[in-house]
Amino acid sequence: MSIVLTLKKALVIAKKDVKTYYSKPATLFYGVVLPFAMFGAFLAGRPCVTEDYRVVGVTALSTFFGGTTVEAVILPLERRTGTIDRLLLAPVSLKTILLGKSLAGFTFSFPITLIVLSIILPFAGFWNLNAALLVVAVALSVLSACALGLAFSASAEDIADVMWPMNFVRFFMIFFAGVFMPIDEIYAFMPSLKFIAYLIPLTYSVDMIYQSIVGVNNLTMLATDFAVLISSIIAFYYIAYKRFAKTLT
Amino acid sequence: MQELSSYGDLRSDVNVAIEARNLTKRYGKFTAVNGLNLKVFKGEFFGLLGPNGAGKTTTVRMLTGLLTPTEGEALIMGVNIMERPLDVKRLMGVVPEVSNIYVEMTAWENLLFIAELYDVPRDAAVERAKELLEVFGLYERRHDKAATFSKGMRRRLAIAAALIHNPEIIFLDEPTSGLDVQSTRIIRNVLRKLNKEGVTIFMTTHFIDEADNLCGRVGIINRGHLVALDKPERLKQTIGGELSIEVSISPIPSLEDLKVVGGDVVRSGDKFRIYTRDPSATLSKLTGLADLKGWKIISVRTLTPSLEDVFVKLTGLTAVDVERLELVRPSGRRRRR
Repeated sequence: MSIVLTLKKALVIAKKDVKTYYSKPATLFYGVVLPFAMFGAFLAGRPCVTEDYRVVGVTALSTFFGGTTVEAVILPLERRTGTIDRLLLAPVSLKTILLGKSLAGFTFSFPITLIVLSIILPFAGFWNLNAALLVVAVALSVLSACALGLAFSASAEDIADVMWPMNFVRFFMIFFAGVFMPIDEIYAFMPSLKFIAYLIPLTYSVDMIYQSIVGVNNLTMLATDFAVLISSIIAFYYIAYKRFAKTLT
Repeated sequence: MQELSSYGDLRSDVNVAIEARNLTKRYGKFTAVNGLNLKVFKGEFFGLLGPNGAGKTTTVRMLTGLLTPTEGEALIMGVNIMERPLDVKRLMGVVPEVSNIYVEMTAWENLLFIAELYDVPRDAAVERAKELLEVFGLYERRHDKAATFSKGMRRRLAIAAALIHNPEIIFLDEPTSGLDVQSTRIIRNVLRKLNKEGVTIFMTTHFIDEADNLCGRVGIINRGHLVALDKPERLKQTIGGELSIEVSISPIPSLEDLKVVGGDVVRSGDKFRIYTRDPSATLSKLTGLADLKGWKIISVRTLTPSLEDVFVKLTGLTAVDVERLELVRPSGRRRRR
């Protein structure tokens, strides 16, 4: 199948998913309400967090929860109702189906994040905002989150089967990836554990978003952010593909 | 397997639409389908009959590429579906056991979405969707969400969705199971019409009368094995020696009372079926028993073997099991001799 046809089919699937699943309570709760509630709770409990980290934190949470949630809702629902068979029986490859699913996640989380940013940045201050880099950072972060959501939900038949383990991993990632404060502060109690942060793709999302908002201050780290996020997207998609394909055997 | 006639002698492989070669599916130690060999020819209406859990759905899922066989291969129009799935899937319309339509979308949106997946041009898709919705009696409800549809309407919409791209082959897994009379009738009429137009139909069912009435050829599958394969009438001839008497008696006696006339006795509504090789002798015993007990025989008729009898014999189920498992619809009756 040509790339154009693949993209066309993926868009058809994404359009259908938008129409069908965006208004599901699980999507709205886990994708929109929960990240903001968490952020609010954190602000209330930790007033020492700096203004720039508040903006970075809410941006990272929005990309991360939005992207992972849509995938975790769509695939199990489609599997439970048998509608996934509709897609598998059509002349559409599994890769295209997964691409369509992630596009659905992308079109949910990407605009929401940009809307949130357009509301809070005028109040918080623009620092040394690099808008183009911020858009790229948000896009890569959302795609990475979508791929992670796909990898988790590829073989699940129930939303709860995905949400519980994924929430565990998501919370782990949020607290150890420096979403709410600089990594050095998080690991101040035991610097030897800092390597954990560098194993988490979200760390690189946070850094990229941070540099795009407050100004580029470390080009090497920025290049690493690009490389890691793109690698994570490929790796999570590969895992999702393999896990899904296994359900067909 | 009981191979009673060889279509291969009459038709060349060029005319084979669906072929299973040693198709096998194992889940651990459990074998769901075991070495299935089968050819369905172009334009045929083929029925795969079997009790629940016999391996029908697994067979369809392997033939349509939804499941990878453990062994063997599935060929559609001579092409291995696992090797060229996208090409093969364009030729097929599949209606799974569950009506897998998008209930959040309208009937119209469902059909146009599927049409887009099959690259049906927009104008042709609109025309075809209108035609199908009219055929299936859903046109007036086309802008309603499928969530508001009854089970029968959803089933009809699922079949319409499988036909949107004018497939050459249609797979239907239990198409009328659990449906109302109106939906069942519409679906059967559409299937007959499609088959007349040359569409190859592969249908699984556990309704014996449905297979008997619709299918030109029937395969009986039990515990993953294909145990018979032929035209329904020829299958019936294989057990031609076994007949039965259907009798209605007032007052209704107990099964135990009737067993003294010999043979298996099965109650069906207010009637009894007595299976026998010698209807004349059994009837004499029955009238004698009726006189003795003071019963009034209201009606009596001798029945030739039905596909149900073949099914019972080959699957090892008893006639009572067939009744209990609802493998025969209330309207499914054996033919009067």
